[in-house]
Amino acid sequence: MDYRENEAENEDFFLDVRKTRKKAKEDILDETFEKAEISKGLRPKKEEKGTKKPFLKLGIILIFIAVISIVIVINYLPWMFIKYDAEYGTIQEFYHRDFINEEDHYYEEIDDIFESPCTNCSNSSKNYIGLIKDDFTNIPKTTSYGFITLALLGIIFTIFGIFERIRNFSRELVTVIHSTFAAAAFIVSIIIALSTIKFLGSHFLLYYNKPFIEASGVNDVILIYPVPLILIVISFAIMIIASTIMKINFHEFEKKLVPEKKRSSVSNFKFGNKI
Amino acid sequence: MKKGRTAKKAKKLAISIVVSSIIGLILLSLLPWISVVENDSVKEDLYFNFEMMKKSSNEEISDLADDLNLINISFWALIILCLLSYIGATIQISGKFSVLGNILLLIGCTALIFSILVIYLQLIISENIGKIDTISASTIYTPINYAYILLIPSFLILICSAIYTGITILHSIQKFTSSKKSMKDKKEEKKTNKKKSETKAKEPAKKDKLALEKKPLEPVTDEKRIQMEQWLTDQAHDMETQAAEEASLEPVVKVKSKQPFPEEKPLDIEEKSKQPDELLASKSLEDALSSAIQKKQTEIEGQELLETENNKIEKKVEEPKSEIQSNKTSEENEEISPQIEESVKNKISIRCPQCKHTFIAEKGEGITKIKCPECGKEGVIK
Repeated sequence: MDYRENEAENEDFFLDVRKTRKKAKEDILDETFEKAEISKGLRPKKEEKGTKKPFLKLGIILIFIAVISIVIVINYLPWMFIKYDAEYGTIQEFYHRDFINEEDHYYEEIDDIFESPCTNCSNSSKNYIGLIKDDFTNIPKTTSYGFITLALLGIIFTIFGIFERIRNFSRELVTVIHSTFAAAAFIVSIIIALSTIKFLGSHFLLYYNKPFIEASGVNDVILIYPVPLILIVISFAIMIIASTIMKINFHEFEKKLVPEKKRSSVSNFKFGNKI
Repeated sequence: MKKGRTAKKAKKLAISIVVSSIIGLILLSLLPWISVVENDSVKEDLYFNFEMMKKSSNEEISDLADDLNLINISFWALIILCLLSYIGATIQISGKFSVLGNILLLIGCTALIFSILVIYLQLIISENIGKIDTISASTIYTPINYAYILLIPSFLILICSAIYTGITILHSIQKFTSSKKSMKDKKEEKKTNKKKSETKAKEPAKKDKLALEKKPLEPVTDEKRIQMEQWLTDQAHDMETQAAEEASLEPVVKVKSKQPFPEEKPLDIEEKSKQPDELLASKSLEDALSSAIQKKQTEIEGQELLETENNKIEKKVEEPKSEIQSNKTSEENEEISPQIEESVKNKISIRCPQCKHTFIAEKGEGITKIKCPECGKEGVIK
């Protein structure tokens, strides 16, 4: 084994080790110096990569959904489709808001959907599926008010977003306001969903109270509520969007906590430590 | 407790409460709660859901609907409170507006009251249904009532809210105590700082006063100056003689102390700075001189005079010092350099080809055997 051949190689190796050590030490010293400068206010803080300001398009999304829901869904789409066999044949009709059917006919004489014919029943309800004619006038109103509030929230939030760009608020404040708006949208969407869910509940009663409905002279009843179903889907979509935004905001702050731990190992370095 | 841990837990619990409350609300409006036996043309059970119960003309049914309405309200309250607490958790984890975050988190604790209320109302409803003869709870399969389905999310809410309140209250207590401690510490620090600043402000004033008082009392006289000059010249002379003696002794010491360590690679800047000074002996002399000077200074207390004298001493000290240094280096170079050269030539740094361990080996005349101290591999240097 000839070690002389390795002599030059050994020297190079020592030199490399020393160089890397020196470099690492210099880097750490620079870093600590920078931190000291920042802490003493001599240098402005750098914006971290993961600390971008939150996605401020929530307002636009809310406005868009609200406008579509009010203009198209609530006012133009049918609220109820009914198909049943009566003595005089099969009847199928679409009912829009305010219980107006396709021929713009308003049934003044009807109060309840599947009205109870029983007059002397002690415990009876006026109807068999829990829906009255007023529900077709009141619920569209409440849902449209709900969407109006959503649109207002969206407008306020977009204005805030524009104002934020001019004034440049702190990231924390923007995120908190963002979450608050999302929470408000979440609540409004629950109101919309629960006000329309009673239409779905009528399906259960249609099944359970079938004998009573059939006794009133109506057979093979099929009930579909297109607008309530769409509104429920929309409201749940808003709920999911709002909750994801809130989660994203929360995770952003969580991320902010993690690198601090990593950074602490560097900041605790003292001169003379092993690298 | 780690930072953000409670916020994370609170967030999770708040989400679970909100989700279960929504499920509860949906079940409340979807499920048929009661059934009434009709004795008219159709003698069967007529099922009532929440909407039907609200619109019923029967007072007993409408009373039950009122109770259900209360459950409805409590579910809504739970949703709103938990969303607020979610925002509170977000605020707390952000690090800013921590007070607001804490308040919102504490507001969420009231969810426990509402969750208890929900369960209590449900139990009351099932009890009331049992009391009325004409009304019975609608069942899926006997004995499971539809009313009991709502109890599942309600109990889940109760558990979650109980954990939530426990966590948040503990956290807020910890925070409160820590903030109190920090406040106390701050106050103490302020007090100590104030005291220090006061004493500092007083000290220079006192010194000035003392200086003013002393100066006119002890004027510097010519006699003292002459005395000082004489003493300093004596000291310089002594130092010269001592340095000369040391110079004559030093080469022997140096040779003894100098060990042939050629294995030491060129040192770093730090290591270089740590190298022992070759003029330790002369330094001690310097120290002695300076201490003596200091003593004298205190005796005379003439600031202006001292400055000038110090300069003189330094000049006088530097001259012999430089002479000694030049002598020493020349002697050392003459005596030690051939030894070092030889030892450096003999020592070789080697990297073991097996374990890559680097070590220093001494090369003898001709072929010398070597052994790696790390892995024990043997080899030969030619």
